[in-house]
Amino acid sequence: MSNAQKRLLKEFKKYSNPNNKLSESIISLTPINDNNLFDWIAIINPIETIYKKGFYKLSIKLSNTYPLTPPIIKFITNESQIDRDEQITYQIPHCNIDFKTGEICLDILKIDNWSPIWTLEYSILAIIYLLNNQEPNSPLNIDFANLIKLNDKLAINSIINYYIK
Amino acid sequence: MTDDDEYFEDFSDNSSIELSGVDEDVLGNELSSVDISDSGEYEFDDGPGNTDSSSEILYSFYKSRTSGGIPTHRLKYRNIALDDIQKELEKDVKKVQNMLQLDYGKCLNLLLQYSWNEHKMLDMYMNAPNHQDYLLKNGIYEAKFPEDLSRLISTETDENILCGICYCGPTKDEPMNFFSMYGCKHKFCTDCYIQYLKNKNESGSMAIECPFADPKCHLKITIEELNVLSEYNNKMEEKHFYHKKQEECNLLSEEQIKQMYKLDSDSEFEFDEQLDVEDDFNNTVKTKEKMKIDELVYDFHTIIQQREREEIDKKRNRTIISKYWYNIGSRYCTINTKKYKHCPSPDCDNVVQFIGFDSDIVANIEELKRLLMIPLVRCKSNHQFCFGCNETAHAPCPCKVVQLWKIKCEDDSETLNWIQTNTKDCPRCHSLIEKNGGCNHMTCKSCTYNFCWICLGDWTAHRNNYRCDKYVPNEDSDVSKVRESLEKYMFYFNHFNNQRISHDKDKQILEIFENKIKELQINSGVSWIESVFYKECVNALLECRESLKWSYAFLFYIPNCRGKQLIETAQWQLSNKVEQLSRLFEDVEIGDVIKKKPMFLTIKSSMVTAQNVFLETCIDIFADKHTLKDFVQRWNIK
Ligand SMILES: [Zn+2]
Ligand SMILES: [Zn+2]
Ligand SMILES: [Zn+2]
Ligand SMILES: [Zn+2]
Ligand SMILES: [Zn+2]
Ligand SMILES: [Zn+2]
Repeated sequence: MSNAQKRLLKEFKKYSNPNNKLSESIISLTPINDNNLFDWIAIINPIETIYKKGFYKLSIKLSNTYPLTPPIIKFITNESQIDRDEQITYQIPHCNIDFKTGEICLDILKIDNWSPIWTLEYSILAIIYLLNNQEPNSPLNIDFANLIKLNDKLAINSIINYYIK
Repeated sequence: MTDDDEYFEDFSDNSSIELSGVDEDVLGNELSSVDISDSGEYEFDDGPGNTDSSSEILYSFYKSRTSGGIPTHRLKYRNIALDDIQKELEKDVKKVQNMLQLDYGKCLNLLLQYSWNEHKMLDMYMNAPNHQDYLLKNGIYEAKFPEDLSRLISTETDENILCGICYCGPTKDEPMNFFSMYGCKHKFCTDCYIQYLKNKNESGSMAIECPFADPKCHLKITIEELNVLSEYNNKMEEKHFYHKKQEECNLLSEEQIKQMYKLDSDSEFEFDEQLDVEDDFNNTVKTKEKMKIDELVYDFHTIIQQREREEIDKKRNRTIISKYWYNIGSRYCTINTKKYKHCPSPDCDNVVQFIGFDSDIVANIEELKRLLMIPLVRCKSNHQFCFGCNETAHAPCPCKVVQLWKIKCEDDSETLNWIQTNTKDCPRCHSLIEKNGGCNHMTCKSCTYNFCWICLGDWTAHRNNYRCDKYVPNEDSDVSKVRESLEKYMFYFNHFNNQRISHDKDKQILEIFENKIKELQINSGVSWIESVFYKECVNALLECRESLKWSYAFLFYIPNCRGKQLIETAQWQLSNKVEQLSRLFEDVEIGDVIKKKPMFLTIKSSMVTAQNVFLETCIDIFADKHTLKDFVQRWNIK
């Protein structure tokens, strides 16, 4: 078993232990299937943010150099019809999230800023934190960044909620 | 006390003067001040104690003036290895260390932080209201290291300790080794710390930060601390070494193969004395054995080659420290690209150091480029490349023209396809022809037609001079201008491309040739010294092919004039010799190689002469200021 697998197994055990409660915003955080620890799914309900009414799904991909290299995390925006979940919102308007691909621009997930002591849970929490702390100056979604810059709260909320199921 | 120490002391005494003189320089001309102006100073820096490390001064051309009396404005350079840069940099670090009275690795980190801009770094340091804060901001803990840093590694048995990377902890029965930097005490197990550093090393990071991040620790590891882990890692890896050693023993040694050859030649001797009846049978046995040994020899050579490559890799990655210095050295070359160039040849760690120019009017590379001169240099391993643009050698084509040509070729890649598909049949019987050597003299296997690969014309028209180099504009035809220019381009491109193909084919033939030579050495005891002459012939041949190739790109851009005619004449003389040598390599029986040594060397030296005459002719064409100006304006070369 590689170092990456050992570490991921430890994380997996920690997250599936009922005594160890995850943050309330994280509904689930598990590998897609038990034989592959390099492919995870997280479902979040970011209750303390302006996206609180939505449930979002994130894909987490890991390499054999984890945790020395960061996980690759993105919002799932294009799930096939068969796998689609009624509860999940597949569109998220956010300055630093690509509306089409779901890619996230977050500095701690870049190789130079990543630290190996951070976990998958920490990474997801950092993304939830990003939801309420948008960075309109390095946008992946330019239209939405303009709204944030104008600080038009009404427009912002109605757009977010327009997409939420 | 050595000269060096004295020098450093002097420096620190004068440091205040030095600094005030430097301030303006840094503020006014931050970007360019580092490079060239330093070069003179550097030679001075070397001092008398260091002459041994500086190799001889080399020049980018073999003559300072062409036979026509035109100055060649040669670039002066020196060959060094990446390790030599390390030595230079270590001197810089020591200099700073003497001034700041900080540990060596901390000074190194400061210099890395400021991309070796020592003046700027010192300026910031001196002007900082609080030195300790300033250092901390740069990831440095000021307090001096203790004598023995090995205590940074500790063996732990406390079950409450957990490594934050692997999430493993020690138990009473299974203790674990932990490491932390001197300044922050963030402990991680040694395995994880080493993997972390190796990973950062692999991506070329320097002044690597502590892995702790809750909150982010910005302390940077010093070379002293790295050394502690590097040595620990070496010890651990030595344990694995034993296994590797055993694996290698399973390979046949060169001695063993030689032994087998001896047996083979002995038995051959016996067979020859036997009677005719068994001859056929013996022959098949002999060939079979011979084939088996051929295979072994071939395997042997490929394994040797592979090992050589691995050796280079190992040397570079030998320890965490050596890889770290390798990264520092190559980064330094990219920062100081005007002064140092890393050889572009793959797997080559050599560096060429710029010294100056052998010229009254040229002071920097840009000026040289404006005169359309090409600063060709050779690394320690004899790889030739252009100091101006870091491409492989492209004389006689000036750097800017190379760029123009490349863009043109990309734009016209469709015509390229046309040419390639239209030159595959024999022009007489249309049977498929495979070009297997670099020589352009083709003989069709089905109809024995002798023709020229380039123009597909009868070879008898080329026989005496191998000449097929002249593009003659067809003035009678009433084709449109566009078509004419395309025709012209295709003519030169065709030649260019053929030289490229010939170059690759030559390379292939020479590789086979090389293996045969090695075989010859083992087989008949020909010494390496005796047979090594072919190597210089090979290199010269491949280099001349490159010149010929680029000459077609060059000629495409030169307007019809007397100069162009002179170049073409010199070009066909060179091409004549190149084809002669290429043919010789292709035709010679391996057994005759030593016998034909004088022939190889004669053709080679006349080829090199032709090459020099050719390159000089190409330089002469721009001797006239108007021609140069016209050319530069016409092709918009800045
Ligand atoms: Zn560990
Ligand atoms: Zn730390
Ligand atoms: Zn080289
Ligand atoms: Zn060049
Ligand atoms: Zn034919
Ligand atoms: Zn021809």
